[in-house]
Amino acid sequence: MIGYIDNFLTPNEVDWFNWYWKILPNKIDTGQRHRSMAYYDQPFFKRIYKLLQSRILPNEEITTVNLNSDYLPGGIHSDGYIKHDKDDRMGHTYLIPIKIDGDFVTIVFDKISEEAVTLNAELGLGNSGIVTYRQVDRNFLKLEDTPFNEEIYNEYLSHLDRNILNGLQVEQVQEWKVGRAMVWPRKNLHCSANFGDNVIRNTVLIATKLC
Amino acid sequence: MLNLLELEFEMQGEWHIGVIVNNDFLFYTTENTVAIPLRQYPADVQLVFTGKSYHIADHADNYCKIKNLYLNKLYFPYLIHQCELCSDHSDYKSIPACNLINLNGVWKITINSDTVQQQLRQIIE
Repeated sequence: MIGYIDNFLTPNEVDWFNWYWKILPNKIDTGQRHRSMAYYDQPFFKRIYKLLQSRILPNEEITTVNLNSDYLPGGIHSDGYIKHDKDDRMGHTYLIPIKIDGDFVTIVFDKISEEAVTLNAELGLGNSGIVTYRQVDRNFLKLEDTPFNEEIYNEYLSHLDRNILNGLQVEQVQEWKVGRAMVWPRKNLHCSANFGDNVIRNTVLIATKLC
Repeated sequence: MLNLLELEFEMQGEWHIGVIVNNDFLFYTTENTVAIPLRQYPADVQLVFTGKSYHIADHADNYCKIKNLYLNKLYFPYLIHQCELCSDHSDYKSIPACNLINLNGVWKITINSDTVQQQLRQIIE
């Protein structure tokens, strides 16, 4: 599925996650965002875990819940497997805005990688935003030289090196809305559209496996 | 979901529980669960347990066990270490960290604005 789940979080639940983000003690700076684990597998989180588990697609199980506050647009990556979950069947990524102050979008591409990889280095973003994903190049993704859509590039992706995008096609431009989940297969490459300085882009990110 | 203390009980016999926060009486319950709104911090929560007669044989085994304790939907069983039961029994005037109430008395706990954060730090760090 690539699309939306409306009202994934109710307004009260959105308030709860904003509160939780504020009080979480261990936030890290990835170079593009502040991030914290939600500790979804800890006993203290069991009620919220149950709530989130009830909202995701059937036959999926949560394997990751993070909270993020972005301050720079990110590069292209997939949320596929990393070492510890390489035997899992990848489910979906659910990205749920909980506090935003503008119009933002996420771009989901057609190309896939079952492994969590990123083109950030090739895109000129270096290691920013990368915590556990492997840096790869265009050859790894077998990208052809078909020019990338100029209109979409100019509107959303001008922070990236255009030549590196050749061979990619856009599956969906997903618009951010508080409480609504944007959903795509973890293996699909995706990235945030460009945005300006001093924005508020706080989200909950859930990754799942198929079961 | 926020500013809420929730307790789940296991009861033997009938217990009458009055809920007081910062000296304001909020409500009265005999149910197995209670959700207590915390309007300001620090919140001095008192649960007044009554209903046990020490002179009635049938009441001898009556108890109310605090099975689960949630603050803002998060499960924090170790909060029990911050509570105290002040009973009407002369031999047990104060019982700290009390999760099994088998005497009439007032169960007390104080919740501060940073209580959740402190609990999280203890667990995570």
